[in-house]
Amino acid sequence: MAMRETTSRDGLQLANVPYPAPDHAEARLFGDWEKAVEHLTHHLLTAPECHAWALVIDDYTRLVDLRSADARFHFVEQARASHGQSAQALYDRYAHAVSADLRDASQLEWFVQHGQVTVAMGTTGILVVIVAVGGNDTLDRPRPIVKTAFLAGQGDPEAVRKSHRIPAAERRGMMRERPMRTPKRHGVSGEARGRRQRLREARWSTEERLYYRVFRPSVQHIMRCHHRNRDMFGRLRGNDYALLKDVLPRRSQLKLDHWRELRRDCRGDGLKP
Amino acid sequence: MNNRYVRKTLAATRNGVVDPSVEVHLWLDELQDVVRDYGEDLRSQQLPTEPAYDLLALLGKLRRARRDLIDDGDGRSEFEEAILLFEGNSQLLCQAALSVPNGEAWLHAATEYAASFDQVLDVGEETRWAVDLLEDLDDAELVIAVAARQGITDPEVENDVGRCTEWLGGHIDLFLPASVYAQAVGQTLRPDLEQWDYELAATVLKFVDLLDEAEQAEYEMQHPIVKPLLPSFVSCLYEQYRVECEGAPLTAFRASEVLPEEAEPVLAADADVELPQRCLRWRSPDGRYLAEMYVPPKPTDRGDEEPLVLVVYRQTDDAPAEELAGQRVWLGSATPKTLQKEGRVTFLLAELRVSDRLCLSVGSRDRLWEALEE
Repeated sequence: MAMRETTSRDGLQLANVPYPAPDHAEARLFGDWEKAVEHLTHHLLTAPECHAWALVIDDYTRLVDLRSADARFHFVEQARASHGQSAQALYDRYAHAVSADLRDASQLEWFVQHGQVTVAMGTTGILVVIVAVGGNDTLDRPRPIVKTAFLAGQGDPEAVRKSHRIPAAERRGMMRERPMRTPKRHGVSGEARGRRQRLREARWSTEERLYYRVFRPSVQHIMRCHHRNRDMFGRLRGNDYALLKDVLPRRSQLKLDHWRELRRDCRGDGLKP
Repeated sequence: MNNRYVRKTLAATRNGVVDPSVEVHLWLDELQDVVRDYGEDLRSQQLPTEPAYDLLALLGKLRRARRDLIDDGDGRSEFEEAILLFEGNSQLLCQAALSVPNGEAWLHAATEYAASFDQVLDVGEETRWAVDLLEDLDDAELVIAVAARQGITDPEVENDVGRCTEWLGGHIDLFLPASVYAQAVGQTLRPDLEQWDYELAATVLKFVDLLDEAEQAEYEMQHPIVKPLLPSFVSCLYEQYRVECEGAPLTAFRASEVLPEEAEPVLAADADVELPQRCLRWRSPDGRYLAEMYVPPKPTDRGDEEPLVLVVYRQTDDAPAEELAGQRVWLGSATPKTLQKEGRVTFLLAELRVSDRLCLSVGSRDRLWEALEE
């Protein structure tokens, strides 16, 4: 269970989450309420990632109407105005999900430490980056703070956010689609494809949805980063997610049935968040 | 046997960074998704085009891949299932897939990528962009090759995609950021690909070109004949970048504008005209010191052997900065000199003339003094 810690009397109460490695017990879930609200905005309240969170956080759709961009925007505005207080319920559920994944990471040893950075992932597929800050003084130990905890491989919320801010002509390297697939003739619209997809997924079990729509894309994102986050000499650039590749099981050991087993080992009940 | 798809001389391959199984396992996952999500539709008469396109591209990728990598990902049965699906409706699948490639859109995106090299971009972002374009073109080439094997061709599409391949060949150096990805794809390939399937082998020529280019680039960058740039030269380049791109205040004079021209014959009429000496002035980063150097307006009898004295003094009382004596002084590309007791140091005109910009630093090479307008 995430431990709450009051940081401002009237604003968001920040939580501590388990630290996956033995050198610390806990990490703070973001440095302050502003960072926390910013993160909720860009990941839990921005499409397409918000729809994946709805599969992770049980009663998420009771808190926010995810189908409506206006409703999400309104939620963000209220959260900012109240210093995060109005988003407390969402934050707590989010902290609960992150905590559970960090416990999985600890049990399965799905984490990597690289300098001051620890990258971890659990059986839901939440990718967590923790940075140890401070500690220059010999008596002052570095304090681990979660910098980001998101569902990877759901589309890039950062790119979505930037693209709204930057004129089309300057959207260099952002929001790229595969240009070769740009429709040149009539075809099935994206909306129609989405409808078909939803019909198909309706036949899936909750477990299958969580595996195929959340966990596996996250693993694929990490794998994809392995060759794509490097300069021409093979040095890692950009972020440390790719380091997780070496601690995750291989594809043949990470199919649906394997994942179910891992999930049961970690949580007892495969679906418990 | 020499395998031209694997280049052990390249740093990422040599250091074991490249893992071809990663790419093959991702393709297997994608294939599994297509078959699971669209299998029923792909067997029908009313085919969705993009899943058909994905199916053909992925089959092509896996057909040209090493079998051991497919087995390692426990993907043999998935691959075989996809082949059966394809063979059951191959004509319609090929026709549907061939309706997708849009070479014009790819060329537009690639041109945008090429233009981006004029701006500063995060290395990771550049790599992802280059890889996205390569993968996208690869898919189109694979679809054409797989369809051709079934006897189905579309000259218009082939021509369209061919123009993209040609463009890539002419700009392959721009795709060096995707070198590690190309090495990974290269290592996924069957070593006997050319003998096994010539059509598929033709789709990987772009990766071979990129690997050749990467070998050449790494050789040139690491070869002993390449000397490191002089730090003073790098400082000047950085200074130029700051002024031109970031609008930073000027911290250097342009040598060609402030130094007398080189051994120019002096006309008799001009010789009589007394021009004032030019005074170049700099201010230290903390604002405590000023430096001055007087420069003759025209070449003197000593020509490039003319000594130019730089004097450093305190701004508060105009006294020579004796407390800085003994510190190193960098000016343009000249060899650094030591500041004398009187806060003076002498450079020869010839030493300064080879500089593009006259950046001054005292004590620490990284701390540039601000050039003051004359």
